[in-house]
Amino acid sequence: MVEKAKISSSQLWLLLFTNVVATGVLFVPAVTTLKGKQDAWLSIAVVATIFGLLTAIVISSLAKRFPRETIMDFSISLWGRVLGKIVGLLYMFYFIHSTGIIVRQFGEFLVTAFMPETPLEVFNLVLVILAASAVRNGIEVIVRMNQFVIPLILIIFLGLIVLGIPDWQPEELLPMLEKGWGRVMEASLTPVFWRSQIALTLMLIPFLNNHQETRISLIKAVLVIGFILTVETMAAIMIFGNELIVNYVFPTFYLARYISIFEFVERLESLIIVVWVAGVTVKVALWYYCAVLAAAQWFQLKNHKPVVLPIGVLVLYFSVFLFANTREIVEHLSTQAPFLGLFFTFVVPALLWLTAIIRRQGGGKVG
Amino acid sequence: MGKRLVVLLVLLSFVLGLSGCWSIRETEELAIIGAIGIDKVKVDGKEKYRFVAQVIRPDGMGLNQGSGGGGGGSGNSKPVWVIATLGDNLDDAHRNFNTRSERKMFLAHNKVIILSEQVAKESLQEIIDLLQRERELRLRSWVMVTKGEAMSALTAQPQLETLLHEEYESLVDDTRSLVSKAYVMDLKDFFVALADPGRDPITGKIEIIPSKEMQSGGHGGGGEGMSPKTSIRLTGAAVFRKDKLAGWLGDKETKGYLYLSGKAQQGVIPLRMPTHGGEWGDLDVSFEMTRSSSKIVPVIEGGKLKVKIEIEAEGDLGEHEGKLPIARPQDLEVINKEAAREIKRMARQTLTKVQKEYKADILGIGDKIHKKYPKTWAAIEDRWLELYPDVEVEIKVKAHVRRTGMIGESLKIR
Amino acid sequence: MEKHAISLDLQENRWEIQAIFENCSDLVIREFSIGAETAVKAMVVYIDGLVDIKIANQHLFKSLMVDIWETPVAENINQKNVAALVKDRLISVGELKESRQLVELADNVLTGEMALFIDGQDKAFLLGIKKWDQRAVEEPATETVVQGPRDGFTESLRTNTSLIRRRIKTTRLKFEAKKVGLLTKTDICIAYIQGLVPDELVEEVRQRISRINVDSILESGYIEELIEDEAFTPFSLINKTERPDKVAADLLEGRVAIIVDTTPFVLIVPATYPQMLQSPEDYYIRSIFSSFIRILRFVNLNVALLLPSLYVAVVTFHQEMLPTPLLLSIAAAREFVPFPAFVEALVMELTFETLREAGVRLPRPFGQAVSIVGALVIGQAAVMAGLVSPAMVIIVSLTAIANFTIPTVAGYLPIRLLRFPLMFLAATLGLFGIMAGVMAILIHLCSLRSFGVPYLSPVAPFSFRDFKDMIFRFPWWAMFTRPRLVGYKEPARQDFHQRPRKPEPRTRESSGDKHS
Repeated sequence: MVEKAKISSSQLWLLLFTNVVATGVLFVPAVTTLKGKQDAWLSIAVVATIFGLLTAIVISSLAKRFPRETIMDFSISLWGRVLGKIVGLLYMFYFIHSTGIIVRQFGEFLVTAFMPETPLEVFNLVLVILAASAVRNGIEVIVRMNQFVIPLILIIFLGLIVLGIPDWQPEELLPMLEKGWGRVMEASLTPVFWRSQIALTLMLIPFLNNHQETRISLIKAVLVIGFILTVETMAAIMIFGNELIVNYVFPTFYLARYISIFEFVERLESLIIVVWVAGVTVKVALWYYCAVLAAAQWFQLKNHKPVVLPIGVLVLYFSVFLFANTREIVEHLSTQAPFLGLFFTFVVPALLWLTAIIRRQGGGKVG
Repeated sequence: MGKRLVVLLVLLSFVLGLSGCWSIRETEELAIIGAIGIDKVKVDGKEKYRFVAQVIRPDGMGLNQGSGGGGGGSGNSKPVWVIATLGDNLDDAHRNFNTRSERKMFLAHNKVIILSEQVAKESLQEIIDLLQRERELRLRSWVMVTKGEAMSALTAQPQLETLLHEEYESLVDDTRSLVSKAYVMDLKDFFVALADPGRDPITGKIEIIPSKEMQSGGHGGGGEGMSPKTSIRLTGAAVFRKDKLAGWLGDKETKGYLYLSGKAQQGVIPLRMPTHGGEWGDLDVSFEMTRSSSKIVPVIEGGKLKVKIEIEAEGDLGEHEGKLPIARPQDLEVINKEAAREIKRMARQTLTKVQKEYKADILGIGDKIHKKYPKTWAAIEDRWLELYPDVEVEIKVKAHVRRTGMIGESLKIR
Repeated sequence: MEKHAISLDLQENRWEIQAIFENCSDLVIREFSIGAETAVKAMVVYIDGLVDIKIANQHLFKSLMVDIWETPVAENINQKNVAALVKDRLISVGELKESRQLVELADNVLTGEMALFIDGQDKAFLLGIKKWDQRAVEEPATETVVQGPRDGFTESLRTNTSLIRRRIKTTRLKFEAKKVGLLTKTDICIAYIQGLVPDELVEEVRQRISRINVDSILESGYIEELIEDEAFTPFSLINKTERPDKVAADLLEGRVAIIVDTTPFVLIVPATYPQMLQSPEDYYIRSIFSSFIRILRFVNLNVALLLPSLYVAVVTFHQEMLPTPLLLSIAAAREFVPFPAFVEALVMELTFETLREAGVRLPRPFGQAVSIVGALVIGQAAVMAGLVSPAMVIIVSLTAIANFTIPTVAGYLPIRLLRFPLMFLAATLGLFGIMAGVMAILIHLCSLRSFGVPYLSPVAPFSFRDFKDMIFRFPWWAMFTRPRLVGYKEPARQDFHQRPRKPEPRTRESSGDKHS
């Protein structure tokens, strides 16, 4: 039913890292500073990290109890066939829907920042074709692709941060906690949602080859993601100040644009395209794969390949027709998406975990 | 399975090839713009915006290739072509660019934005909106205000560089770091200062000066592309209150501002030494600054807001008339005091003008209060600009002569 | 096929042979007698040009027809003892076999053995005195090194195995012989070191080779395409080399080599792409320098793949990426060029490929002429005529030079090819198009395997241990282990703690003693 593949614990956290950072680094600073102003980084560094760790514990506990099953399987064994199937169906739709939104974000950024004359559909189509070919080749290809993309992301983002240092004005981060933790909590909805995307692991449990280390690699993912997003947000605040930053849809992009060292190292925004295409391809491929796997499991297919095409069409449809304009996406990302996301990435898994504890199900036999 | 790559590439190529190339623009379809200016002029009794753009002609730098000087130019090999277009509002004027130029406006390489005095005196809201919304414009562009029309600031003749915008750029770099007599903000800082309620923008002032050397003709011919009789000077600064030009600062006042904000780099402070124990008489000495720093600290003492500004300047001993020895340690101490007094005087003068006359918080004192006393700030934020002129500011200056240059005392001529 | 037994009658055998080798003018049949009174008729059959005729004269004809008279043997020879006498005492040739089947015998004669028929015997002797004109061991033309051994494989299988054997003197080095091709009956040889190589791998190679059913194998490229994992890919999934030192090194890592007769190119499996960016010389020069060279090659790989498309993308889509002065000079140069940048780049790249192909195929003196025409006419004249911008010429040259730094043919061929679709993508979608193309290539590469080993290992799947021989080449004392995915049966290569250290300082007395 499920393809034979192996994901090592380090591959897992690298995959989750790309999964969150690829889009997070562009959207999270923008949406978080909108509410949190100069304290936005606290939302990312503290609140989202704590929550992320909580998610990591829930997921890794489930992985320990059901080392050979995805959420599609153990929701049935915990909650019974009818409810389990309903949960599975919801997850399937959630994955397809989310993939569509990610593809949309991808195209939307490229259109806004780089090629305004080119229709959005072109970008979305190219991305979906790329992701589909990766998905057909299976999770191992996605994982390996990610290992190439990771150094690219790290070098470019850390490079952008370091090159921006001459323009940092650390006093822009003051006053700290101006409006207290209330505002920080309020602003943390988006970063929390992004961090909770590590819950995609729920679909990858049977591939993990070392269940002892799953918890550690999830925690590693949460912390490293937190570090990168926090530093990126702080850098953006320190360069643009908390009043101007809220004006920009993509502060990270402007940050790359603003860098100028000796008037020679400048105009680095093109590097953003490189990371954006590479990172988002991996991210979309991963979500797409989860959607395909969920569908294959739900329909009890032997092989996941037949559903790649229909789901690709659905994803493309969602990516183009779900929203009419940019403001709707931002609106969705800052209001509905987090709640919808948290329901699937945290609430349902947590309930499943509680059920498992109460009913003492899932022996946690690893072997 | 292996056919995938082939199929994928072919598929991608077809998809893209069939759908065409939307964002394509060859270099020969671009009007590369080095500097823009915004004016307001009266045409038939109606106020209209005038958008001035300086288009660089890549071929004009070498070969002669007259491409029809729409601006009334003679079509000679000028490296630039200045296009000015009118419009009822700014966006209209800006879009009208393409009624004059067959090439698409390309602002990504724009370096300089010049506002005319008249434009700056009115609200900048519309201009700022355009500058922010324009995708190509870089946040590193320098914003400057000219006395007079932006048009004439863009038609001036560059002296050393081929292109005017390069001349502006190097002027900004040099004037800021070598003489500390002007201050220019880039677009990002300008936006930040506008967006922050506790800060007001201050930026460079451009003066257009008639240039005598140009009579014999320098580059190319005349025409609208460049008026041979003028050149530019960057001097002083334009002070804004919120988004409106409040007034100008002269050379010395700008220097005072640079001390106050700790941005002063190199520059000379001429000192006239006092009679010191009958030893010196009226001696002229110059203090050549190498670096300075300042701290602006708001304090609340007994419920009253006060601001303390501490300036520290370091420098070398520059010229002196050399009749008497002054490079002894105890003499340097006197010079230190004298320099500090002079700096303080300049700083105070600037501060008074800015605070009392222009009522513009270019030092970002409000912002400092915000950062140190967020609660107090929350209470006064809305009426900060009304409170600001009456805030008591205390200035403390320390100056240190570190070196005396390559010589100790002057050469004694006998 | 019907098995012809060798007849007791010499004449019958002769007719059979002549029938089998009808119209084969290179066949030589020589009849003569052995002995005096009771002389026995004998016949020698061989293919002219495949046997060492000097040895035949010296040790067969002379000893049977002349020297025999100086020994008492000649007198006593008769039909009964002739075979034993000839084998034991008269023919002084090392390799001697017996054959009773004419067809088998004919096959052996075709490989260059000499057959000796004796009247009244139902068997023939096969003398292994093969010798044909062959190239001497020369320096390989494709993979030259500055420092390192200069011997290269030749067209002869035996020479090739001997070159490997000379480097690895262990009985664990096995050469399994096989014949492939119905007509060509090409000898091939599967070489591996027992115990190092995974058994599954050898079994897999054996199976894939035995599955081959074609009439001819003329070069190892035939075999390569028949046993690959993936049919349609621009990337070579099997390494090809004519350097014995490279084969030896790969065998020692636990890989399998396939040596094919009549070609100097030996196949090595499994192959990975990073391997194709390495030259044997990397292991002979100082490790710091070879690490530098490898980084340089990696950069050049990207330049060769991406530079033309980046140029197209930047000049037609992302002019904001260039520094202003550079943009102005490119724009000034392009002002008079009548073509869009993409067409310009495509034409120039195609021209270059044409020139290169022409230069390779032509005899050397013409090749030079072609390169002069290329450089002068195409380069300079096109720029002067304003057909092409000078920037484009620089781009094409840089790309070509970067391409040449990739040390193996298998490494640079796909790069040369993939440049063109990438240029097309760049012209339609700019930088995004290039990245999409790069990601497509990456996905493809990630899905490739060569004999079960992921093609991009050790980068993906990542193996920290194997990075000692990837971008950096660690010194030999630090090469503790073989590659994880091929050499896992005996991972340890050597002892730890072999780093050279400064000798312990000698005490003054002892050194003083020596000198005094």
